[in-house]
Amino acid sequence: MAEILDDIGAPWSGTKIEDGSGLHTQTMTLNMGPQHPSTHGVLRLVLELNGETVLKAVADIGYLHTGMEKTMEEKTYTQAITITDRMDYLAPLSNNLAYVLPVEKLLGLEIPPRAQCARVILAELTRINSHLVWLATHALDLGAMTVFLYCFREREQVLRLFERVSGVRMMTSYFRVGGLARPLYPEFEEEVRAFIDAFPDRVDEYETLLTENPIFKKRTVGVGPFTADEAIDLGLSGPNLRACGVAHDLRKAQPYSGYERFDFDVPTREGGDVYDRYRVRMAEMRESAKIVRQGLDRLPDGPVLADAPKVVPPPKERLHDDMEALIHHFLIFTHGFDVPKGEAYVPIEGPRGEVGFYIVSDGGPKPYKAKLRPPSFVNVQALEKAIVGKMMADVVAIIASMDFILGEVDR
Amino acid sequence: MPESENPEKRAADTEAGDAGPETDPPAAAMSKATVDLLRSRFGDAVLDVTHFRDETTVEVESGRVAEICRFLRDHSDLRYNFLADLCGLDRLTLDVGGPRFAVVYHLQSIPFNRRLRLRACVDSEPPALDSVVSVWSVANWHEREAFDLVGIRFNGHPNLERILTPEGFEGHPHRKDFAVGDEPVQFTGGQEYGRHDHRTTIERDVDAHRRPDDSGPDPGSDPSKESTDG
Repeated sequence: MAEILDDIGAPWSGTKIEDGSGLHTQTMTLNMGPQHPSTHGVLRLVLELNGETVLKAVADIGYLHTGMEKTMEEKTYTQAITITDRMDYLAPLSNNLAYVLPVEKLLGLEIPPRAQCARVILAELTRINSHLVWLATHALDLGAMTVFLYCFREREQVLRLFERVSGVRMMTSYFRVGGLARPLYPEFEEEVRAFIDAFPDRVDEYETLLTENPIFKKRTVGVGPFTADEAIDLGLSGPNLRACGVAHDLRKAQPYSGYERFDFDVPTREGGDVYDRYRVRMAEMRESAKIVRQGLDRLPDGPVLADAPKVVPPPKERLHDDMEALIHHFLIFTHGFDVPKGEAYVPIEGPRGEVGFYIVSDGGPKPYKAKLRPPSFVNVQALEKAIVGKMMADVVAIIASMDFILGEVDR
Repeated sequence: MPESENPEKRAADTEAGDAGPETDPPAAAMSKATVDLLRSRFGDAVLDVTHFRDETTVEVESGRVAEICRFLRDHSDLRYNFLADLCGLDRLTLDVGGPRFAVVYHLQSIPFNRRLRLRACVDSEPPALDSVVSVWSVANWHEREAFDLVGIRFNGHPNLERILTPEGFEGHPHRKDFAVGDEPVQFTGGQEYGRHDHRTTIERDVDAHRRPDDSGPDPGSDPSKESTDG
């Protein structure tokens, strides 16, 4: 065991503990993961236990590291979008948005209203999708199998909408620099509306099973709390921060893609524990449904791509009779489009907190640097702090409540 | 946001590369207070201030970065209490002049709802500057990542170990001179290695144990006869 620990700098197994009776006991080192079902991916935790109490925790990450950010430097700005999906595979559209916004900012592009509104609708559906998987696995970790099945039932409907919109269930790559990859399909409004009308009742259904469930509450209330100051110091954002009573939501505080025109609340709770994080996310799903409905009500007609011939590929039909279009098409697909020299960072409110790409451009067709601000990475770091001093059984509850995706942690 | 507030800026009309650094009045005004405070407190340590696309970047002396960060966090008119991101940047082929490495800090003040980017260029070899873990705990893993991927040392970091790359990894992959994909792959097909063996493992075993006189069905034999055998 000692050799395993040495490699992550934690050579602390087997410390003697005196209990005052003249007898002594010894701490135990427990390796949890990377193949553990409740570490939600390939997270490895090395825990030092005194009985059932965690004395120390070290998270070992990097099992999924494939150098995605480095890969993005070798792709054109359009090609790099496909990599953003794969970082946070439960919130692909949200990551697409986080990437295209700074690029559009560097280019100074104006996005047509229909594309903006569609982006908001899809980003909120992504939030619902991500929260559903979080809820399903969180509940499953605490022994509630039914919730898991219910959540995946609804999640499948969201994924079906994504598939209809983009052609793919998960790796959507649907947002492009300048707008959307292709127009929304004709029945989009109708199908999304059908889902969103039924959805609040479904959330009621989950809440009936959990919110006042004494077993669930015993496992979650008062477990793994953060104070607001701790949370900010640890860089927590999104629902994890709002559960500590900080009403900071980038959709309100620093609106992007026209969020300032939507009417929604920012749910907060005071306790900052596992239960509060649960309540905040449940409330957020209802708010997201509200935003989607408003988006559908005001979804304008018009183009879904910006009028920027040097960035946005021309429609296929025009290639046959328009010399200019043919040149642009050729340039965009062979060379890519050049982005003005500079740097930009546009943070957005992802399902797990602040997501954003810091893009540095050297004036060429490929990002010089594309650095993700990964909320999952930050959440795992905070997890290390949150589980110290807690019971072993609480560790599972806290892991799930932090909500992270290892693909994004490791990149 | 560029898409809603700057309709006059259109990439379509400007050749890429023309849009150099520009001054954006609202952003400049908002961050002016911060910059003035920094200048009055740290003087020469504030090397440069740029406003580009609504974002303010303050370039500071790398030797005093921890001190400056603490000031930004604690000053009652600034309160940059949230470190959104920290990353190392290798500017080897970025035509900006100055030292090769930089560390970029993205700060946010939640009380005042403001953002600021700090850049500290590092001249030393190996590149090293003070850790800001004591200012924001979140910097711990971010600095380990910058160390791992870009090779920047953070003095005073509690546990500056590699974090993403595997055990025993050599080099810093996000450096621009890190070789990518140049590992020679030997081509093992072709004539000198013989033709590919299409038999299955069982077929190969059977063939190996077959006595010389016990030759199977002749390849040239009548296919209809073979099927009746089966």
